[in-house]
Amino acid sequence: MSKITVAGVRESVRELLDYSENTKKRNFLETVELQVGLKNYDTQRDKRFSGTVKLPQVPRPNMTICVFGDAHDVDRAKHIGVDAMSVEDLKKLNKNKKLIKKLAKKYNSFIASEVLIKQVPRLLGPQLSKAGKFPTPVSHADDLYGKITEVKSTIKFQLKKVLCLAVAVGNVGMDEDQLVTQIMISSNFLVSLLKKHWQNVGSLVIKSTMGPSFRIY
Amino acid sequence: MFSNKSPKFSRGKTVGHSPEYVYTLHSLTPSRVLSSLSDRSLRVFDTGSGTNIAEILSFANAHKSNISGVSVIDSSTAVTAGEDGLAKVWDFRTNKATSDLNQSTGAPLLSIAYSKLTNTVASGTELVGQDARVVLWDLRHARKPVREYIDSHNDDVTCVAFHPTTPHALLSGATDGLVIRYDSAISDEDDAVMQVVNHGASIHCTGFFGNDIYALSHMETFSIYRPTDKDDEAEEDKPENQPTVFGDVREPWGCEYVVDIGKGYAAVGSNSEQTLSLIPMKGEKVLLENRIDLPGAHGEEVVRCVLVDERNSRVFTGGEDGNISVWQMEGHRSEDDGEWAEVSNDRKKHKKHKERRFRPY
Repeated sequence: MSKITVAGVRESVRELLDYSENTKKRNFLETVELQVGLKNYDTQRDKRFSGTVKLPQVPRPNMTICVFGDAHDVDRAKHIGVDAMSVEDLKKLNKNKKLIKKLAKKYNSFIASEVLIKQVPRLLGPQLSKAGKFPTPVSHADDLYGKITEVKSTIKFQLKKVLCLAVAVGNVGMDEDQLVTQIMISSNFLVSLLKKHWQNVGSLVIKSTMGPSFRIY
Repeated sequence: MFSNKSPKFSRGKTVGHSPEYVYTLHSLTPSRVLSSLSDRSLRVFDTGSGTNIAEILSFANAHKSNISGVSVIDSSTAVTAGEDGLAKVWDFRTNKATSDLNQSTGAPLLSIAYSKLTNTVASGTELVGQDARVVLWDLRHARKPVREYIDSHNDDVTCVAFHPTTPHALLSGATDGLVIRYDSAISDEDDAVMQVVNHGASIHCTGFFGNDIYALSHMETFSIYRPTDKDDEAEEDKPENQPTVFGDVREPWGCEYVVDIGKGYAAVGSNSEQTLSLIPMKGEKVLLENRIDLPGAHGEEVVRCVLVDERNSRVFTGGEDGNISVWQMEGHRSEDDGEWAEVSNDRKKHKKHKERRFRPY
């Protein structure tokens, strides 16, 4: 019942990739965004349209993560080459606002051992929440690498007072198939949350960071 | 929840306010319901004990902007929050707003809660600049806030809730995906924050189930979290501390959206099927098999509020079609129904002594 077809999206993805690879190649990895234009939606009165989309592939591969771990998780993190800090490391910051602010700026996201996460407010104060970077919990039973990939693959979306929304769904380094899948999954997921589904969608457009827009609906 | 294990409900009276939306329904007394609508009005309805509903009071322009939340204080008082940055206390005996609760910034208020344990009102604000606040007023000294927590959230604070029996225990939820538990007796924010839960998605509503914390997101993911002690340095994974993660409930609960969770049930709806259902919950157990359907609901429109009146075996619903409907459990007898519903021969005998319509023969 989706109003977009794989074939249709593939056509636009092809054009988008062609432009970014051949017509005007940039010296950085461009992100591909899905831009949703809503209609029949009242930003004042209707229920909030806000949440996260989890995608199969990491859309922006250069995201940096730091793990706050107990001994077990610090080991696991070091094993996969991810920065980690122990309780002692966090205590050393001495709740210094400047240092914690620096820490918040240094990484895109944080993950914390479940057994440790309850101590984060006391160890670090509110700075991480204020920066929108309060850690995601990970338990010993979870696969740490899987959790890190999950955090990197989860994109926030929120509609605020205007009728359009943009979500990062991939990058121009992905192959055609991957991008098509990312776009299909995110479009169908977002539409499923709208009360009138496709009747609330005015347009769907994909765009690379510095490239032109391609309309897919 | 209701006396009957598999009750059937049918629609009684409906009052319409199209094209407005009905945002909230609260019980003031067993026969009075308070509602807020998108036209910025606050309305009181007399509901008797049956399927009747009739408007008896209306306050137009209750706020200069959208009414974002309502909380009942007692049978004749309520407090409302507005996007005009004000919280107002209303007295329904004198029919006016008795006080304005001011706050320093005038930031739009998005949520409100009242605790009778401490006579305190809490409200969450929209993000303005860098700040999204949780503001508290003591109703005895309502001139200015008694507390403001400004550092804990990073985005619009959409929900606040007090613990029903532990004084000062307060929750706030925001579109930053966090639910924060405070001891609001403490003024220093660093010390007042007892626990931070990262639910991972924009919070629609949060509250206490006993001492556990539930969180429902705007994308219908639901979890129940355990209370934790921030000074507890124990490093083992205690199994009892694991949250119960329901995930996206739309498929398992057979719905397209969740209206509300709390007070022993989850109210869920589907626009395309035009249904609204109440799913009883016993603690964490979701009793899908005892699901109660309200057939037809509000058509294709979203249901925004549900009020269950167990004593009279009825349910009130309000939706984006502007309607407020009363639903009565079939088989339930009400003294009031004589005047309004279809009267069977049986019922005529039990008809309450009210003024009878003049019958010349």
